Amino acid sequence: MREARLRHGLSQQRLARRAGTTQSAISRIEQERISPTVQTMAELLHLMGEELVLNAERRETGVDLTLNRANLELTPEERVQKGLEFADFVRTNRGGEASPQEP
Amino acid sequence: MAPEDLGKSLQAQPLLSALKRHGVDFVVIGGVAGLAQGSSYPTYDLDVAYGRDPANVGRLVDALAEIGVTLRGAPPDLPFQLDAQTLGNGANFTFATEFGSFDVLADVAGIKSYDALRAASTLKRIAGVEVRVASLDDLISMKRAANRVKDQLMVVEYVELAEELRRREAEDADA
Repeated sequence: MREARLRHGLSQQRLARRAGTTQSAISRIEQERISPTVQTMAELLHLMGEELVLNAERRETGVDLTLNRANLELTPEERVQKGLEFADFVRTNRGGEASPQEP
Repeated sequence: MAPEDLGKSLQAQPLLSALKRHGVDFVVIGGVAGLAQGSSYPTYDLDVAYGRDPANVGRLVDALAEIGVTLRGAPPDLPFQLDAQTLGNGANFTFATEFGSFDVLADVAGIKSYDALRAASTLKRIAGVEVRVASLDDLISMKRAANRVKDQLMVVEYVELAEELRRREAEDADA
């Protein structure tokens, strides 16, 4: 919001006047002290000759699914067995107590 | 920060088979359920959600008595009477057993009701025992509600895993 307002050379007071609100309300939005609704955001941008564009894109999480894909080739029972064995490996290497997993 | 206490090695079979033997109505949740769904995160305890109707609580008490649970992290001299009234007065209990850490929960954050959790669960075989396992969607909701750093990481993995499963189902449907 702040970037858009400055791009249009507007003060908070002027934008507030256009929007029929107060300068402090604009300030609170820009300082992220309140979270405006999408509709309010769209209206404020509209008053500055801009359009709010919302988009949804696939998130890049960086998760490597190699292990998960290998797990999915196993039965649920085998997945749990493998996971608990790995937990035992972690536990052992951290000095905890481990015992053999049941077959 | 001190490392997490990983406790004893978890043996799921004796715990799950005791619950089954006593006819307890329960759903496996937590890390073991995540593993069963394909997660790669290790887990160090067994978490189950249980129905709170008096008959089921009674069966759970019998199973817990057979397992031989003690309150985890409680002072040794803290009295704990394992009976239906005690379980009825609480909801979630964390136990230590000779088979590893074992948590039973009637009030699960992120879940609307036990019945809803059960309805969305699927039967899977874990450690030789046929049990109900929480759905991936419910596991995501539970992890969101818990919201510790490790839960946030698991939410990311579970969402990716759900996407992978969706892709596979779509491919199977096209084939």
